[in-house]
Amino acid sequence: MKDRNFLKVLLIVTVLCVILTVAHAVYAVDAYDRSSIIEFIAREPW
Amino acid sequence: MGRGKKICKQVAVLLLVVAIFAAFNGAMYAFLTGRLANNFSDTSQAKMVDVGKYLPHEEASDLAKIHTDFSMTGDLPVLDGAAALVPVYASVIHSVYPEGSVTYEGGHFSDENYYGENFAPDSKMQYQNTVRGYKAVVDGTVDVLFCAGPSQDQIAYAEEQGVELVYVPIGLKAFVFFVNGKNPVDGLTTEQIRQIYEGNITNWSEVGGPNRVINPVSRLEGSGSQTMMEAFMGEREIGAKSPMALFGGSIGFSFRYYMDGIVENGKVKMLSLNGVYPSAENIQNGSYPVIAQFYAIYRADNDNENIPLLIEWLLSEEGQTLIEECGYVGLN
Repeated sequence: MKDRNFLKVLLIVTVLCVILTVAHAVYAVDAYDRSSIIEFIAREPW
Repeated sequence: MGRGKKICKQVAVLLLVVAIFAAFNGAMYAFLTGRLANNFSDTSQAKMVDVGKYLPHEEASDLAKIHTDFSMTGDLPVLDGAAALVPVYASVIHSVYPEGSVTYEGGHFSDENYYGENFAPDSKMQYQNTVRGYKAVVDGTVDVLFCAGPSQDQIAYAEEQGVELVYVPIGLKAFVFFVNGKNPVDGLTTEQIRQIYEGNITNWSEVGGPNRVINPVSRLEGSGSQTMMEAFMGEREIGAKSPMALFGGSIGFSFRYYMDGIVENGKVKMLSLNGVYPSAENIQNGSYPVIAQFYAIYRADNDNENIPLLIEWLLSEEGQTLIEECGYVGLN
């Protein structure tokens, strides 16, 4: 594809990825406050 | 560059960008999101106290029963309390309230209903846990609340409403700290725990463990556990923690009965404090260092004549025996 079109596609994909990542982070921060502390520690990777 | 090669290169760049974000989100899931279990998720419902197992006057219920000549009649006080004390006040109702005084409706947890629609409005047993329970006893919808001591916000709320609460100690419970079952650290001193929560000790290697950041986890503000933790810290502030602590090895706190008796999770382990493990024996003999009173709490202006009778019975030998049969320690 032409360079200009590729950059548009790259920008769109990057923005979508950023939005999804931010949404994931916001959900995680919100759910953390309401999470079971015991489950959180039990599922900890060691 | 040939057209085909150019397209391949462009696709590779796009895939690389997606892969980088996927890897980042995957790591976030592994260390954070995947470990979160909301209090009202199917997974956690099974781990929260299941009031259905503690219904008074049901044969299958796991309750203590004391043979006593004392019984309640007339205007029965509505009882409510913290999750860890459900077995206590349910056993009180089981022992001294008449049958038919509790109506359990089960219910479903949801975003609007954190605790489910457990009991009918006219049931003499309710379960709203600490935060909502304190509000309910101040507002007058609950007569006697079985709970740990109040948080500053809960004291302030009562004062704002012009309500004086009476706190009657009725038993003792152990406050415990716990870690993941695979954490090699088995015990800490009380000073080490305070320093961890202050933020002065930040790595498990400083306390004999592996080289891994410590994640000191706190509870919901106003909950019994958080209030107890603030009392444990005394004048010392719980410090802010680095965001990277989320990827570390966590330490948390709770009341022992809630950990051992109600939430049976072998993937966590309780820590010894000052060399003393929080076994039932060590709590009974007073050697475990962090023990707190729990209370029967009611409004000073509540004129229900059965309340002083109930309190007197709870402090009697029979009432204290019932509390000990529920797994706690009596005042004596």
